[in-house]
Amino acid sequence: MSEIFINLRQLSFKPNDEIKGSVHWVLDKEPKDIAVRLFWYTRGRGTEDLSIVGSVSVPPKQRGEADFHFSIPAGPYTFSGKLISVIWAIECVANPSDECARQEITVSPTGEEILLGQDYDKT
Amino acid sequence: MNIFSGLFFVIWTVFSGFMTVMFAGSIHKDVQSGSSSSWMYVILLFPLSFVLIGLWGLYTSFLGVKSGFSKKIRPKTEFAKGTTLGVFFFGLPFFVAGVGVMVFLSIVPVVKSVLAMGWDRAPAEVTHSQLKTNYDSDGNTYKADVHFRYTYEGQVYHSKTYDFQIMSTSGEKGHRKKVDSAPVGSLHDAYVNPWNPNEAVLSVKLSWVYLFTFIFGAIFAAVGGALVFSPFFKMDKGEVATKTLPKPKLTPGPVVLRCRYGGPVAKFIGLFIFTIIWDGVVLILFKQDAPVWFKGVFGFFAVIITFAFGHSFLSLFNPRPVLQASSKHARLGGSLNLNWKMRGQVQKIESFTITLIGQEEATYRRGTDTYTDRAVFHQQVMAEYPHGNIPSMGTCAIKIPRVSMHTWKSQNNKILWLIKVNGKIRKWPDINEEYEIMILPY
Repeated sequence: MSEIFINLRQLSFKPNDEIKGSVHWVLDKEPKDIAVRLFWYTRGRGTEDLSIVGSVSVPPKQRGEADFHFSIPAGPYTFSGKLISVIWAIECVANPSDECARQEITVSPTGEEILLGQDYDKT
Repeated sequence: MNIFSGLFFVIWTVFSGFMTVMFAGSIHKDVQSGSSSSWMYVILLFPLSFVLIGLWGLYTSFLGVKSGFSKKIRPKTEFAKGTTLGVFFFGLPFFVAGVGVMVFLSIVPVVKSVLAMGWDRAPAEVTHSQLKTNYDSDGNTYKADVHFRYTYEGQVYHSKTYDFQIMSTSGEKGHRKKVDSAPVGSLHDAYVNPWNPNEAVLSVKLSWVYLFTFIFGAIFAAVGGALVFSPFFKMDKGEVATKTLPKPKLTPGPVVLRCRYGGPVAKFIGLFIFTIIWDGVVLILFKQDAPVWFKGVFGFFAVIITFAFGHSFLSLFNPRPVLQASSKHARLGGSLNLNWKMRGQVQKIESFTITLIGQEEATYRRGTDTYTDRAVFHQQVMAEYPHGNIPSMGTCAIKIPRVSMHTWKSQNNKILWLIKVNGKIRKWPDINEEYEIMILPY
């Protein structure tokens, strides 16, 4: 049975931070390629948007472990409103089997998801 | 550059440009011969509007989109799969039908008519002339059924082609006119194809039916085409990333803010063009023998559009707000100073507010329609005059919250920060203007 794990020291980041982590995997077949990606996507009323911010390839072995690191840009922040949410995640995908692991992270100056409509200045 | 959309708009522009030239020639000929007024040139706005759409499409396809990614990378997770295939197959029948109508019922007959103008002429005698009626529960359609005999290079030929209009239409008057113009036994000069003498027509006049058919076909093709080609427009989702964050190119010094939708003048011009086109079509429709329900539907929308046009015209005489901000950009937690003044008869305004708004905008598609929902997540009144006595100018400070979301725009979802100016005027269109400011990350 194939398994992919993403290991991160923390799940909460500030804009412009560095993300360092590692992936390790055990696959049924030898893959053609394995990629680790940092991206954000939207969820909510609108048609989904997504953007891949960074992508690194790791050696395509049937089992192995590899380190990765990404630089987080200044935005968008992880937020949630009435209509839109932006979610950041790291995923590792092995092709052509499409085996995948995904880990959601938070990107914001407070280290927490920004909730639109909440009056933070009063709290 | 998107090669698929570019190709689509090249074909679109060439087709509509060709139609415009053809109809311009036909109208010019009618005007010169005195059979039409020179006001008929206004009709050219219809096909011209399609040329403009094509040019706009070409501009956005070849110049408007700059991709920051070289590879089409897509994540493998479930959200990336999308519904593009469904949208493609939903739009395909509309697109094919629209293009088919444009090509076979409009462009081909027009091209053939124009080519036939250069064919040889031969004496012809009408042998059969009758108005053919196709009975239908939705309304009858008619076609002029005219047969004639002609002699070309010493040989006798027969033809059943009065003109190149192959479609029966509900316009009885037009077809009856053709039958009346060619009674049995009448003599005419037929247009004979010198390369194929079996092909001949009595009339090469360009009918308005071709123009209407082209417009209706184009509407279907545009709606269907938008759906069919939308996956190609969105193919490289990675490009969104380069557009999402406002570049921190801070322009120092004060700036005069621009109205988000171009203000009342842009609205008036847009509605003016649309009203002319729509009401022009309806006017011609009412002169034709179109079904009553058809006239009713188009007439109803013509009234609404004309009302909106009138509303936008009155808005032109409203007092105009002019907003000057200390900068067009501010960071979360920062502040901006805003100087405002009103041009025009400010005493007409009964109540007046200037508000800072943080707004979500989510765009989505349902069927063939695209909707944009909006939700306000931050509202801060900066100036308020609820009981009149509005000064002609003023100053206010905008305090941007420290913990919130910065300005962010992706393809279908946006976070916007706006300054809204509202003024109520009794028995007159109100002032409702929006000005965008860019809020940068903290």
